[in-house]
Amino acid sequence: MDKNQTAGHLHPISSAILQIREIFAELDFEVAEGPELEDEWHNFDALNVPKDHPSRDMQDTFWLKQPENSQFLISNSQKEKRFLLRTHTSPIQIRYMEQKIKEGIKPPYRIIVPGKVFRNEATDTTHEAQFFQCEGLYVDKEVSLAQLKWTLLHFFRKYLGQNVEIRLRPSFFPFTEPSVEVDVKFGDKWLEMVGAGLVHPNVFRVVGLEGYNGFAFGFGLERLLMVKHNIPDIRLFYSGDLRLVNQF
Amino acid sequence: MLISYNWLQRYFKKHLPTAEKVAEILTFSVFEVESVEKIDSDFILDVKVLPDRACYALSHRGIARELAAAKPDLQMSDIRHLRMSDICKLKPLAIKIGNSADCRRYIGRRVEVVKVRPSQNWVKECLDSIGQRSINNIVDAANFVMFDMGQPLHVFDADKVKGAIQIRRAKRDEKIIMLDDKEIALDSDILIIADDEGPLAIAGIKGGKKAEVTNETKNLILESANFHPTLIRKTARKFNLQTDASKRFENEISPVIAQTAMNELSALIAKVLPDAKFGELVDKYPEPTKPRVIKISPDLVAQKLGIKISEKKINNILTRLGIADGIIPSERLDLREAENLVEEIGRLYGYDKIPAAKLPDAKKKVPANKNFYWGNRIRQTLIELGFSEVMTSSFCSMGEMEIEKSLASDKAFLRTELTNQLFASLKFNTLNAPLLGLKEIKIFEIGKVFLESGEETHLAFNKIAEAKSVLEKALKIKISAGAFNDILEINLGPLIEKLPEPKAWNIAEPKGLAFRFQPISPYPFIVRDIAVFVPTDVTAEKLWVVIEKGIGKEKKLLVNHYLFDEYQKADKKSLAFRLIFQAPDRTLTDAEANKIMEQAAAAVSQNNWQVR
Repeated sequence: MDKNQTAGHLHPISSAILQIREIFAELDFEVAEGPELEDEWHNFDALNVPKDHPSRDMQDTFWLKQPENSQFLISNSQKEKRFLLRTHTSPIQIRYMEQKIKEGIKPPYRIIVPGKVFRNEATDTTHEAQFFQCEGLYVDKEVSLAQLKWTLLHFFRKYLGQNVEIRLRPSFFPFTEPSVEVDVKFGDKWLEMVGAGLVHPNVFRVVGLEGYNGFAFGFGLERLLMVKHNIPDIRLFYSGDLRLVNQF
Repeated sequence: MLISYNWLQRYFKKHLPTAEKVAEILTFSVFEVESVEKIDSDFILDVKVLPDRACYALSHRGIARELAAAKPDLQMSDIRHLRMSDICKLKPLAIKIGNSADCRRYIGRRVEVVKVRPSQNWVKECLDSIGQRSINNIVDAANFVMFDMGQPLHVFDADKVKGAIQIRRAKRDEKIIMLDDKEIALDSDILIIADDEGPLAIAGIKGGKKAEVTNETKNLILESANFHPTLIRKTARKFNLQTDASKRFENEISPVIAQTAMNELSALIAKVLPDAKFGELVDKYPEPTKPRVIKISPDLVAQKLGIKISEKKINNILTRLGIADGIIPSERLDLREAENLVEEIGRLYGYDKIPAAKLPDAKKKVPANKNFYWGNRIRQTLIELGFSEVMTSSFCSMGEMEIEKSLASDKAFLRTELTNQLFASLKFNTLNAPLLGLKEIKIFEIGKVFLESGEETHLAFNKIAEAKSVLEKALKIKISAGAFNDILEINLGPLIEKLPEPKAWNIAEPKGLAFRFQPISPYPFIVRDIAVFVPTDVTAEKLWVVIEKGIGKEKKLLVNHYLFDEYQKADKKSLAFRLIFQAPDRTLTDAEANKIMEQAAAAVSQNNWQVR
């Protein structure tokens, strides 16, 4: 640690977000954001995750108790809606497309969405109840898995180094079809890093963009940093501990 | 789903490749295999079957089909249906389905003159391999067929069933005693199998005590049915009774396979009990499902995957999945539209063969997101002032928004402010200031807080006097907000609203160097100071070289050091260093630190410099 340093330090997550923004800005992706307190429809239904379906169990959810006389609920006049802490950044896919259509702007769309997400699961060195994800979405007339592959390879080579390789494995996410898991070879190890796929036609149906194509991906920022810098415990990120932050 | 390698081998004429190889084939063609474990002469694969494919793959047959689709040269055998003795004229079996939405199909069959006894060894071994306890030849046969082909089955003792088998909602105040003697109170949300007297089983989940098959059982009623997935899921959750049967029903299975399963169960019982007499199938199937047809064009495949695959090759892949002329095998409920077939073709063609294709150039310039831009502009301003950014938990013990099922009581609410945790972080980091080499701790956090009125993005920082005016100058805006313990907390939403749209991105990116994180020792550190009078021509660097030499190989315990005081007095100069010691694996003792300091002092004295 440099004793004479007068400048402070960005949190490694913020620092990673800025680097990711830069890499994707070169590919013309803009940054989009959305609420951490999300409604059930945007987090699940609109993303082709049906109610009372086992695919909802894939993400352990923090549901919020409905407070009585809540201004928040009254002001949204959505008393019947259930609220939750978003389990992924994917609801911004819906919110962004809804907004653009409202503004009369048709695809192509290219966005990345860095943001905090929540999972109701026990914490340990690799699991936290809160963590950051970065979502990516590209919508156009024609979009292919080959383009997804190029985009992710481009990103990981810029972020982790030129000798990085990636590989795709079959997976399942309700909002993509085909769905893939993307492994990244860093050093001599293959690491599971990204969930991705082509946007499911039902997602386009929901927002009224039937006939369009797209790809989407999402990865965890802590995992990315843990891999790059050999950080042993995810919980360090939210400990408010400068012994972590000041190394960056 | 636990899959036995030996069980899988029963489906193939040729010897399978090694269990590890099978796991690898499955991982890259369809399912991640989470582990391969050798147990006696078998290997058990833990196959991660995701919800979309649970309709056919929570079974050895489903996995065997996938293996055969990925490696056709392994030659999967045709499914051989065991021969069953002739159908006998037995007592009629009455079955009544209350509502066809709850129960899409119910097949029953009487079997008479059975002898309940222990299973044959091969059945026991199969069940045992995947962690299932053998019960008796009848129950085991039903379980074997379920783990073999995916259809849950149930068997009743026919002599304990009075009147017709009824599939209906339970009445309020009805109760059932389960196989484990637990009593469960039912209601109209629960689908049950009942006779004229009352409940026999909770449909699709678990059987009751009343018509249990015991060692004395002589006659059976076999059940192969299809229940509504949501209904089963809700009931299983309500009673916390997730069973192998409920898991398969809640993921939905095709009603078509109920008949196959009934035939296989009958044949298996006939094999172990050649004298048993089998009655007619009674098949209640109000609305038989029609075969689904999905057409796919090679153009769509090429567009979606980004590689041209010939029609011949596409048809070859689809044939391997049992899809001919677009007719989808009944158990493949996951295949609903053309995109699903694109995935099937892609994964079996091989994702590794798909090229990487560059994105087209976008025609428009990327706008800078206003909130994101100003958030980072604020970060940059504070960093330049020497502030560091921390992040803390969004959860706390009190607040306005409460979590339904929280992880812990101190995490039951969402935070309403950042100040509290920033203050805790400040105290914590102040204790570590010597370790960090900092004279003072300056920190901030930007994050969401949650109020009854909704969520807000807040900024909190300490050292208000130092930061506030600089921020105001940088943003060209007046900041007014409440302060507590020298921590200022600002709602950024309204503040950023007043700021102009960013014209272009002009915030410098961090370089993102790939360094290795220095592990944080959980053990306490020890601080020691050494002040030395040296001649005026001796620099701090020179003194440090001497001190370091004195410390010698104990240097690994020195985690930080800095010059903290320097002044000149006539022909002498005083230099004071602060040394911080810490061990990565234990608590360092005072005696150890003292010894190191003595070594350092001795080295200084050897130069005829005076330790103060």
